[in-house]
Amino acid sequence: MVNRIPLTIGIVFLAVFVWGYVITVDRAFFDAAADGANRLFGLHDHVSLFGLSIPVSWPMIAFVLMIPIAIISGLMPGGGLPFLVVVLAFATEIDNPFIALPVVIGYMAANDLTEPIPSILLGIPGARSSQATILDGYPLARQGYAGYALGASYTSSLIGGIIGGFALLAVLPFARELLRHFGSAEFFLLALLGICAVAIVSAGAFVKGMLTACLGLFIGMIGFVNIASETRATFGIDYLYDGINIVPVVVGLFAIPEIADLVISNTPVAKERLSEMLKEGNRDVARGMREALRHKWLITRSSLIGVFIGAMPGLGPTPAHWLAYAQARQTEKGAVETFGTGDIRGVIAPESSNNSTDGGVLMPTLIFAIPGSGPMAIVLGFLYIVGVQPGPAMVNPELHLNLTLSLVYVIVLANILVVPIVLRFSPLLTKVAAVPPLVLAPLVLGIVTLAAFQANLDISDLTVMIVFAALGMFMKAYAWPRPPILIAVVLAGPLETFMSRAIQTEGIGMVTRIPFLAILVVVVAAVFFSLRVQRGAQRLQEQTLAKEAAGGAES
Amino acid sequence: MAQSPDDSRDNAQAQRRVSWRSPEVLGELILLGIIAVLAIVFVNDLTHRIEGRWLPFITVAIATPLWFIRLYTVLSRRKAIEQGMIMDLGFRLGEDPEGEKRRAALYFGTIVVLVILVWLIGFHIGLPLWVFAYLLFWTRAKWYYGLLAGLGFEAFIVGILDLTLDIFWFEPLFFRWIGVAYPFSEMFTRIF
Repeated sequence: MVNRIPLTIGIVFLAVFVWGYVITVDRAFFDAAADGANRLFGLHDHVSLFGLSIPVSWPMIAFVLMIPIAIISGLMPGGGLPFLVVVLAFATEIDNPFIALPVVIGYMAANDLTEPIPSILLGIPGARSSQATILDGYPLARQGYAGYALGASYTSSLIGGIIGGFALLAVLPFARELLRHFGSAEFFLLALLGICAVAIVSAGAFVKGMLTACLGLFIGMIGFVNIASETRATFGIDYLYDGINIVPVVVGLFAIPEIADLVISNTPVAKERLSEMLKEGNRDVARGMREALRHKWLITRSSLIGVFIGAMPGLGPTPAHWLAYAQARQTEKGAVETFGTGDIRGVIAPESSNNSTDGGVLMPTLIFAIPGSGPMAIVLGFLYIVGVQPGPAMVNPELHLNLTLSLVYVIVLANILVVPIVLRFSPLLTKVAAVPPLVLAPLVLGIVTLAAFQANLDISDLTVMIVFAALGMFMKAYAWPRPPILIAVVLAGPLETFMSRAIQTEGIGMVTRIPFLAILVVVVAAVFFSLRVQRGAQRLQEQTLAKEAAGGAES
Repeated sequence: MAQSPDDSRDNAQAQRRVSWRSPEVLGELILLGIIAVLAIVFVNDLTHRIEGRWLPFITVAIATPLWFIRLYTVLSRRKAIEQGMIMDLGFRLGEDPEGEKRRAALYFGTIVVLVILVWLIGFHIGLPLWVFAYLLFWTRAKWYYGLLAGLGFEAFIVGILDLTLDIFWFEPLFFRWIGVAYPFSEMFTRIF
């Protein structure tokens, strides 16, 4: 039976949403939704083939071509982030944001869908957020129910992803109303708090996080200053006059250290385990799917946790995964005894939340330019590169609302298209996850180096890549958080412009504006909440893994 | 409140003093040094117009006290336990620290070699050659696998960057030295 309190709260929320929609959604919103769909799916261009003129949709062709890349890179140990950088670097070449942005967001959504394969079949996290899935997914696979676990996992992922997409859709009209009251002062504050929030949350260590953000601001301030029409801190190097290019910074700071992690630890998957899983990966898939559908309330709860945690600044999918797992353990009947031994609900809960975070993390990123996760910080940088300014423009029907809505379609579509593919080919795809890291490393390194060069076609970018690779490896080794650097580098320009405008127009009086104070209160509260969630999730993760280890040692 | 044995072990670990020459202390000092150098550069290189000075001043003002706090923490040489890193994590280290150190140095060295190779002879020759050599010497792959991977990269460069994007290639140093134009610049034109 459904608990009445959450049901009542849910009904109240729904009523508020419906009421809000009636007030905020107008014809312009629907026009933008239709335009977004038309630009994404419409067959506006033609290609000549054997004398025939065939209508095509380039966004859809790019999207479909990206899917195998997203699936394979997601399965490669440590491949997700480096390949995201590659996709972003090549997407900057595309002039049309309706191709570039859906490709990137679709890549991320499709990439996340591959996580259950290594987690369930091999007992290794595809990304670190999928550790919770291993706890029950891998025992199920070892008991001979690999296909059953995969079927349940993908069904819950699919539903979670769709809920995440619709959640993003649901907040857009409200965000549009809210952003109408914002001026330069508020955007300056949002940029500043965005950097601080991610710095504080990402490290769990205030001093390190803030110092890293300051380092990022220093790097972002190098070069020509538009508002002063002068150059700053260029050390007399011509290359630095235009500032440091973002793509080699991302490759150096993120992609190269991630590959280094694989090479340094170098833990290949045992071949016996692989061949065993190849046989069992396709068995009982349909039963697993039916089982997931039977737990619709668990999927809904876990998905909403994913959306909510994803929307918090800087948290990302890892805490959402663990919180969804914990709530399932607490609320599901008999779960306290059975979780960790191969309970299918222990797979359904984290996997639902995993994919729903995609919609959640896009909310603060697109609407307020505050990245919802580490990879979103990279996407935020990409938005500025392709000339799409996050913020009011993203919810304005006359500007980019159609683009934002096309991302909702892309998230939903990526889930619908990719799930059947990975379900059908999961045993085969497992082989990709089992490729030795040492063999993968040169292939990924080669591609990211090309990406670093290709974004600006400047060979000096490779020097920047090496410098930031050294810095990134150093920071990773000494547990200094890297995302705040990137966010600060990206936001330094807008921050300076908004600050200058706000001071000129409002002076010190800007701090007394109601929207300014409201943002301050909301973001500070969100950061405190994020910190609490983060600590809770961390503690939960440690306790569960310790219990698992103890159980393993006893058996 | 009573402490669990795990908590007291963590506290003891956090309080343990480490050597001056330990990588933890030296690494943190280098990172703090980088921040200090950049802060000094920005203070010395302020723009003439006031609008360009606000952000550097604010950043230096925020960074300075935090920098001293961190410096004190590092100099007191307490071993810091890894804190709640959600968005970012340190390296996964196993049971072979010597092997891991060797692999880390070798890895970084190979990236430097790749960049030098590309600078000298360009992407078309340098990158496939590097992939081939890497697979052959480091992973001990069969030569034909290395060759296949190298050719795959060549196909990627020509197919995507030349025939699809038709990008402009820089003149590699070697070709400049011998006075020959980089042959791949004019070899392909966009076909898609």
